[in-house]
Amino acid sequence: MTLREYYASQPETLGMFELAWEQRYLEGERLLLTEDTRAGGIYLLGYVAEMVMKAAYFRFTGAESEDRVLWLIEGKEFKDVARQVGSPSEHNHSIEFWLEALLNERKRKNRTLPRHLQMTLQTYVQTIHNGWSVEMRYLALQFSGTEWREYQTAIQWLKNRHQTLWR
Amino acid sequence: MSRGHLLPVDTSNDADLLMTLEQEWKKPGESTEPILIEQPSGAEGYIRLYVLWAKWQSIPQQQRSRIIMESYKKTHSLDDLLNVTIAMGLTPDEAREMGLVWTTE
Repeated sequence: MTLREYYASQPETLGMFELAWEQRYLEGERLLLTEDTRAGGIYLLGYVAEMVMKAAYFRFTGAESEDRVLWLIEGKEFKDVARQVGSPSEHNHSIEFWLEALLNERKRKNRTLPRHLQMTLQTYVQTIHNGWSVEMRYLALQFSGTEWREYQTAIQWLKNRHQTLWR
Repeated sequence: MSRGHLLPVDTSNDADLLMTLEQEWKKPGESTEPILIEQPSGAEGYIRLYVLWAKWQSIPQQQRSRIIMESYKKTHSLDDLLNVTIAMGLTPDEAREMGLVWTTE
């Protein structure tokens, strides 16, 4: 079995997503702490944030651990939401998009987040949005400043509080 | 391919930028910039803020967002603030590169 076949044999379920982001998070954190590998850490952790937001949205809509993420994304219900919310950039990887989709859904069901929580979420998503881009993969980058620490804090918060986003 | 380096953040002009934005939110001035855009998001009742301003040139994106949100917070209600999903500061050239098209009143 090739590695690609091995990946394909793993079910891309919401439950798997949650395990995957724990793994990516630990890997990303390790990369982040060393200057030489910081760009890789930022890149990887951005996907953690995207997965957390994506899972929060689908969990809030009632999806279960066994549900396949691809099927959820390809479903008519989600496509209608995506059409309504629209995406400023990066399509399904856009953390802005997932934030807006989640807030929209919560408001639609009269279950908006507590104000302090929503404000913190919006602030941290903004920080992650400013620090990460899918396009990073094409760039050779070095980070000598300290901005990455804010980014790290934002990702940590999002990962640690993910259940509060959809419960 | 070239290698880039991010420099430490310079916050020395933040107070001036903040004050100008506060004034502009309260009462738009005569100058052509900054251009303040409150764009309805696809999410019902939420908006995205774009501030187009050549003065952003040397300021990192995160700092621009912080200044915009701070100015908005000082001039709007908490409910208004909670409706902002994303606040982006862009120079007009950056906005054009992003494909934004705008008009002013």
